[in-house]
Formats: sequence, C-alpha cells, structure tokens
Amino acid sequence: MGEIVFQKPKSLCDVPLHYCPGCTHGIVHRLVAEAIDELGIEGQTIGVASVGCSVFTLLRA
Amino acid sequence: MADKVLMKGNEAIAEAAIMAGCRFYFGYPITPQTEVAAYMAKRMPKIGGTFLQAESEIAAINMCIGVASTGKRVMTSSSSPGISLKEEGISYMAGCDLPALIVNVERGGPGLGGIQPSQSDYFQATRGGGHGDYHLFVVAPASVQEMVSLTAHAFNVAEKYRVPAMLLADGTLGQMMEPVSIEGITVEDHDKSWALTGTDCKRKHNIINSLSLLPEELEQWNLERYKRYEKIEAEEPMWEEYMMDDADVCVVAFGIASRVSRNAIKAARAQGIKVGMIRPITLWPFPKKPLLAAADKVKSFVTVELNMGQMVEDVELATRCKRPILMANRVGGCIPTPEQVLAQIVEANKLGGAQ
Amino acid sequence: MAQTGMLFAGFGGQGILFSGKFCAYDGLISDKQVSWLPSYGPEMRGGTASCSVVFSDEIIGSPIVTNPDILVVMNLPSLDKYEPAVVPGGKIFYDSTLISRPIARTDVQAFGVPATKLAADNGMPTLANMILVGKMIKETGIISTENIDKIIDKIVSARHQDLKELNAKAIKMGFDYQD
Repeated sequence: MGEIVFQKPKSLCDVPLHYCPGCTHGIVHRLVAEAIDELGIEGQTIGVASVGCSVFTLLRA
Repeated sequence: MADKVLMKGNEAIAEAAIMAGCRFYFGYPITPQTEVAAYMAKRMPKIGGTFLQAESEIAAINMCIGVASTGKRVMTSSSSPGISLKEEGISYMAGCDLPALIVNVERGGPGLGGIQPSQSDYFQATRGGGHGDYHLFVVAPASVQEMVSLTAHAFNVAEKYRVPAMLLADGTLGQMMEPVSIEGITVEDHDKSWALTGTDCKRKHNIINSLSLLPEELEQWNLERYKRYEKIEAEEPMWEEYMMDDADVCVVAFGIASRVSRNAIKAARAQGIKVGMIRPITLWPFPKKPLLAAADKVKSFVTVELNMGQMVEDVELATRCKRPILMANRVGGCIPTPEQVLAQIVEANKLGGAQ
Repeated sequence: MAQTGMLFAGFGGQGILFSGKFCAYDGLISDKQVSWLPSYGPEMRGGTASCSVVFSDEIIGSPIVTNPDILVVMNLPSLDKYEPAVVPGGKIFYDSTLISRPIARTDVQAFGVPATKLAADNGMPTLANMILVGKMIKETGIISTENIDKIIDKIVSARHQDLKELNAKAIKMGFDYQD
C-alpha cells in the first residue's frame, strides 16, 4: 500500500469552489489551508477576504 | 433608416457618452458593469479622450468632480456597492452644482450582495443618495436603444440645470444585446461661464465650492437649487403609456421589470383583463401627473420591482393612495416572471372602487 | 404574434454565447426584433453558460427565455436542467459526443449531432458549437441560408479572416449531417 504523499488539507471545507480552472486563487486557497493545518491553528483562525473573486472563500457552505 | 448594430447595453452607454461629447471617463471594475470601463479603455485613447481606472470608486468620483469643474462632460460608472462608495462625492457634486453622469448598473444587495440584476437602489438614486438636501436627475432605460438615448439626454439635462445625473440600469439591460442606432444624438450647448478654465487675468475668478460658514448663505444656496429642481419637475418628467386608454388595472414598472410586464399584460389581455402600463422613464422627477390621472380611471395598480418595495411608495404618494396597489417583486438577483406579474394583475382586477 | 424563444446552454468556453450571438445577428440583418441575453456565473471558464435569444415580429417584452421553442445544449447538466422546460412541440439539439443519454420527452423533436467529435476529426476543435448551430438551422429554418455568410462576415472579427471559412465549413457540416 503506497504512502500518501498529497491530500486535501483538513481545514479546507469540502464544498465546490467557484474559481476558474487554472486560476491561482484556488491554489492560494489550498496553500492557506495547508499552512493552517501545519501550524495547528484551525480553531484559532479567523479568515478575512476582500471583494472580487477572493470573496468566494466566504460563501456559506 | 438609420444603420443599426448589435450592442450590449453596457457598451451602448459608453458609445453614446462618447457620441454625446464625453471625453473623460473614470471607473473601476465591478460586475455587471465592467464592460463600460473596458469599452472606454479601448475607445478613449483613440479619440484623444482620457480613460483612467482609478484606484477606487471614491477616487473615480473625485476625479469626476475635477473634470466637471472645468465644464467638460465626464462620466463614471459602477454597480450598487460601488455607487455607495461614491455617494459622498455625489453629494459634493450636487452641492457644487456640477453636471456629470453617474451610471449605476444595479446588482443584488445589500452589502456585496450578488452579481445578478436588481432594482434595489431606487431609494438611493431618487432620494439623492448621499447626505444633505439634493436630487439627481435620474433616468431608467428599458432597452438598449434607451441606454443610448437616455445617456445623451442625461448629459444635456445635467448641463442645462447644473445638476448631476444618474442613469439607473440593471444587470439584465447591461448584459443584453439588441439592435441599436447610435445616430441622431444632439449635444446641447449650455452656459459654462461658471467653469474653471483659467482666467488669463482677464476675468474674475470662478469658485467651485459647497462649503459656507454663513448658515443664511448656505440656506440661500439650497433654496436657489430647489428652484431649479422645481423647473425640472415641471418640464422634465418622462414616461411611456402602454395600453392605458381603456385600462382597469395599471401596471407601474421601469427597466427590466417593464419588459417582463409587457409579456404579462399581453397574456392578461388575452384573458380579457383590461390592463395597461405606465412606465416611468425619469425616476426623478417621478411622473406624478399621469399616475394621479390614472388613479381616477383605473380600479387598482400593480407595481413590479426587483426590490422589497421602493417605487411602490412613490406610486402611493403620486396617486394619493386613492386606489389599492399590489406588488409583484423578487429580490436577491431574481427577476419576476411574466406568470408572477400576471397573477398579481388577476388579483388587482378583482379589487375595485375607491379607497 | 410570431415570437420564437431559443435557449443555448453548456459550459463556459464551448462558444455558447457566440452561438446565440450568431442567431441574434440574423435578426439584425433581417430587420426583425431580436434580443440576446447571456447568463453565466462568475467563472470565465468552466461553470455554466447559457443565453436566451428572442426573435419577434413585434417589440420584445422579456428577453429571458424560460420555456424555449428551440433548445441547443452541449453538456449533460444543461440538458438535465432545461429539457423539462422546452415547449411541447419544440425542438432540442444536443451534442451527442458529450451527452450519451437519450432525450426523455416524447412531445418534442430531438436531434443529436456528435459535434465535438466531428469538430475534432475535421481540424476545427473549437467549432463544435457551430456544427450544432448548422443542424439547428437545417431543422428549424429559423435562419435563412443566404444570410449565413453575411452573418459570419459581421460576427467574425477582421483579424480572424481564416476563421470565416472554418465557421462556414462547420455550419455546413452540421447542416448536412445525417445520422
């Protein structure tokens, strides 16, 4: 059985994203979630997003 | 017959502004009106005009104040939340008696809201929008052709009376394409002796300012301004009457709501209901006269709006609450369907008699 | 009153809006009343894309088509969403390369064209939409064939001259397609 080398970060909600295929918003979104996982701060984190497509991080799940 | 082209509503506004002599546009992207800015970005440099994507909507409206002070035609556009950002600047423009065109292609609200169409900025547009006693000349197109004709008309009226003008459209009109003619636009010549153009030390300097330290003076400025508003209310209301001659029920709707209402009225007529529509084209000044006249002839009114009930209050005021008024509305970016409007027409037809 | 409502739907990037514009230009050329209204989400690619086109002899009321006389779909979610809305007696045109299930409605006419495969096989991978439009023109007669070249002239920008011939070829391919 292989070793898992990559998976969806735990703090990334399992909802459909609305970024365009190929847009780096989606990548940044995942990187932020990875950082939250690595630092173990999910319960102490408040997210803030601006207008424009970045506001899709706040869409109610 | 004039040559027609297929244009999007947003682009039609921009092209009409250019044909109306506007050579300055300051804007900022926001759905669903970014095409206005994009079109201006392409066209303005080609005709020696100035296009600037400002750092914010607030910067854009202040740039408009700068240009308007020199007597030149200037335009900015945005959508709902962006218009809220501009409101301080718009109040300043009104207080300085500066002509300009502000375009609002409405989206769902409040707050960041949604990207789909709405008419929920009606109160904001018709009650001034910013602080203080003032009005804007507000026009509401219902077709791509009117996006053209009303843009040109708004510039003329703004300069004639020295008031800022607002073109209130919705996301549907901004995005849709219809055949349109861009010809036949007239640019009226109005007095600009008040403008800042450099004295060359040959004339007394002009001042563009909305501040007074003397309350009686500020009161005078307000009173004088409202005399101009009286003239606008007397001479500038615009509306369309559709099938009103024998109507028992009067639909009142503007913009996309009036388009949907046409379908409903056709369906109602096919059922034998005598219904017509009064479509306000100027939202300020509101077409009070035809509505008051209709109140003596019809049994009831139905307003159709993409908001929680805003224009309905002006209909109540204009008709002096003489008749019952029903409403067909959707919000959040949803658009009333012809079926929904028809249902309210049917209900309104059952009501009757004076209040 | 002669009014026809058309609805085009698929995912962003398939040329759905362009297909609708093509038809709208016919309205302009033939001096008919016509409206074109896009509907899309915030995405520039992917997501859903649809557009309503209304042709009429009289002034058009609502530009929004909720019950199309003619439905053109290029992906399964769009067929799922709009098939129930088609007017009885209406016509559905679908890309059978991307949509494998049969049409469920028995009171409409359905025409499947393997547009995406045909486009790929004939060196025009981006013109599957125009192949489907060609079939639609053949079966509905909504656009007169003599207008096709005039419309292509108007709608394809000057810097894409080479695409004019390709668009005409794609439309003809769909027009002539028999399964």
